[in-house]
Amino acid sequence: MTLNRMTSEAIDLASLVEAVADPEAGATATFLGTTRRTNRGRLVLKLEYEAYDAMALAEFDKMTAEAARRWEICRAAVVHRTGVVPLGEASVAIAVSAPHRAESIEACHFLIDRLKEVAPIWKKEHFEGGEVWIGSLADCLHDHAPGEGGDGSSGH
Amino acid sequence: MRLRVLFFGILRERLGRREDAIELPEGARVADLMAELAGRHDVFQLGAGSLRVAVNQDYVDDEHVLRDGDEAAIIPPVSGGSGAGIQTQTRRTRS
Repeated sequence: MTLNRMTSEAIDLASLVEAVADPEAGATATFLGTTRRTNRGRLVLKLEYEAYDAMALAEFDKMTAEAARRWEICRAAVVHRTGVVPLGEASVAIAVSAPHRAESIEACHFLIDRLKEVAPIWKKEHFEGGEVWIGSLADCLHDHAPGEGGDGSSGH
Repeated sequence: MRLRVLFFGILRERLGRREDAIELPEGARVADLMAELAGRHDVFQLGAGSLRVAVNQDYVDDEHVLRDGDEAAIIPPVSGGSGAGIQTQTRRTRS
């Protein structure tokens, strides 16, 4: 059964760690991505996330299945928040338990990288003086962000 | 055949709606859908190199053959998580 989910509520990392608890685990790696105050010189007010929920979940399940094939891990859980995520709060959390630390850390790293590549999730940065969808399309469409506009992000 | 086409993020915002019902001839491919969309709205021409398409929640390429009742999502560059974006599968117009 999958431990992955999408949520519109604040993310509780402790409950995620609990969810991946396993008697065979000797290590649990976690990743938390949070809304950062500045991005490319802009003063960020908040981030707003939108997702194609059903597909995002399907992609999470594929990712965690691949992680389980590539590394010896016990359990993995990926949760992503949608809607407004205020400064300092988490938009994404990942927890991976494994018998040994190297596998848990590597699988966790793989999962966040893969999520950012394939998960159909989009964020809009609300900053002082404007707003911009993060991603290169925003550049093509001449969104009115100062500087480079699209590709950066406001996170860890 | 009739498709349900979903829009997200900047596309949803620019179009002012989340989805369209689109009729295409039998045997149409994803490339035909994108051409149809490009004919309807500039946003699809401008963003063409950066858009991916998922049919029934799986990424597909331009040659994928569509079927009646398919749900096709037009996927602008994704930006989940909180760190810098990864642009491995999308074309960028500046470095």
